[in-house]
Amino acid sequence: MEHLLEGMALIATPVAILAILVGTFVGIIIGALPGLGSVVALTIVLPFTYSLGQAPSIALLLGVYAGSIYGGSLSAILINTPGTPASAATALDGFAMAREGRAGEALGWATIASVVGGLFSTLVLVLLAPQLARVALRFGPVEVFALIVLALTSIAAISRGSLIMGLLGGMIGLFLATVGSDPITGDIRFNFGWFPLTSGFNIIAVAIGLFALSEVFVRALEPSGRRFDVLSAGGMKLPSWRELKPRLRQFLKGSVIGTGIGVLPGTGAAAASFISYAEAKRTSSNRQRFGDGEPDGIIASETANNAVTGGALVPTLALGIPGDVVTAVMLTTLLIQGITPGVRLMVDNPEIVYAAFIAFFLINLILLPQGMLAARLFARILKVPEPLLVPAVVILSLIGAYGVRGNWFDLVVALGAGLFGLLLRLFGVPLAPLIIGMVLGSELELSLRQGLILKDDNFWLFFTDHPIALALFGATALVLLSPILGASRKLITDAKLS
Amino acid sequence: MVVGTALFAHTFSERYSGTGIGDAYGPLFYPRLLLVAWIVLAGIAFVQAAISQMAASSFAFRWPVGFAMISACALFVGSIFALGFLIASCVFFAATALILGYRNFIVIAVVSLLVPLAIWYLFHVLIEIRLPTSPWFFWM
Repeated sequence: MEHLLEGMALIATPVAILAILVGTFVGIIIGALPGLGSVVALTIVLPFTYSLGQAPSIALLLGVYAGSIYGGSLSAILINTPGTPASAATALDGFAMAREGRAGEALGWATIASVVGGLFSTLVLVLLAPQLARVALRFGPVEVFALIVLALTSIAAISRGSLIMGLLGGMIGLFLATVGSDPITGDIRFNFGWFPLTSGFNIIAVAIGLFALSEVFVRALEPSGRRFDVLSAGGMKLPSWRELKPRLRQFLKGSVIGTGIGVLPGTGAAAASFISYAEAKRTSSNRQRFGDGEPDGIIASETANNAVTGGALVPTLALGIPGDVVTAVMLTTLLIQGITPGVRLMVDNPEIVYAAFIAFFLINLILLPQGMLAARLFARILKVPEPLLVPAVVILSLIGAYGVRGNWFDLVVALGAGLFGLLLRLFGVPLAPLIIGMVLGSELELSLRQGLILKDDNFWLFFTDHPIALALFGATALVLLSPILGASRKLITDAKLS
Repeated sequence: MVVGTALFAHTFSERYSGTGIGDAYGPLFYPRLLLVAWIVLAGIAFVQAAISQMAASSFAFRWPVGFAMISACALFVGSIFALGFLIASCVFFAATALILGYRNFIVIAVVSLLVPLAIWYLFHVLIEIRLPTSPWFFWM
């Protein structure tokens, strides 16, 4: 109790409160800009932490982190361009709702889902951080491989009406992730002697081209009589309690999935959001409407990707192990501030740990009013005539593609991905599987190869020596077979009735 | 299917003969698995497409506007390093607005200067993501 009060005292200062407010809003805006994302947002505010104390620095970074994850959903819903890969699943139903003139509703669902997911993971963080850290330590390469295979089943879930094309897109995405340096030996693959391909394809550039540029090209191609109206958010419309109540289970499931995956190093918000989306599609009573503007899809994606932010703090704070690039930047900042994350943190600096928990709780509460403010801002921007809005979107998107590595080749990749995305859309092929494949591909290969090295090249030991992995493979089989089992059960029931 | 097959054949080229020596699952093990799946799936998709009939109505598009937009984007990407981000984006902005049918020339002139300038200032100066500069002005 004493440490909790000390933590509250550290956060209840004007500087810390300002850091929370400013950090969250800056994170939302930068997260909404295609291609920038959490890492860029954190590196932008990093220099400001040098002049702040420990608690305000942590508050600023956490605000930017949570805000940027949420901010990605704004552009995903409004312009079909996920601001971060974690919001790619949100675009599937969010943009569909926006096309129907329900952008305000979609933003409302996304905001509530983000707040709920973040608050849930904060609660878990407070109550179970040490226990979850011990679970995270039991996840090795084999378990990570099994988890990513499970995440890949989401490809089947989102490939409506075109399962083969969706799977093909996923395979292409997985293959594109192999271009460049081999993760184990460093050998260069598939660069065809061309130096720019030595570092592979930048996923941000591909995602921007595939989603944003292809959308621009499709809009230009649409005959004027069939062009849809300028998308206008008109401000956010929060769902009523009557709309929320039947969906409480979805909120809980997405939060649990996101928190659980966030705890594991090396997975990330994108995997969590797609697994959650696939699971929601499997179990939702409105599964037929997924992809056509179903709020359950937005809830699944946004609760999961925001719940990851709290879960990711478990290995970072409790073990000193960053789960991804974002938490690695945060870990660096903590070290600069003289805080050493790890098993001794709760013993040596408990007030800092509680300050982080309290800050995170406040940040997730503040997401709601700040999200509403950001939505109003975007609503004004979207009232601009489309011929003036489109070039701005293209320029911002290409800056996002260029800004990651400062490499002209990424601009070419974005343009090429845009043309490829246009072709896919003209032939009715879903785009998301390709991005899923690229996002998960590197980690899938690394975990598979590491697992094979650990098991002396005996793949069957993945199943016999690792009960957690076996359970995850079982879950994968269940997800893949459940449509077939469901259809068989229906046939048997119909036969019995007749 | 053709691309997948060509890439699969490429994995057996001389280029990779020295890679992964002594490693049972070398650098090409995983890509080959993916390429086999790619070829099989592409074959199934090809057979499905050959059997089913495609709807023709989806091809009633404004091809001149579409091609102009694609060309404008390609020229923008090509000229961004030759002209510098600011000049290239001002020209691109104006051209795209005209391609998409906007005809208020005064608004186009003003907005195509102000918006790229604001974007340039935000990224190049404030956020310090250095954008390509022109060969004539070192500062923009």
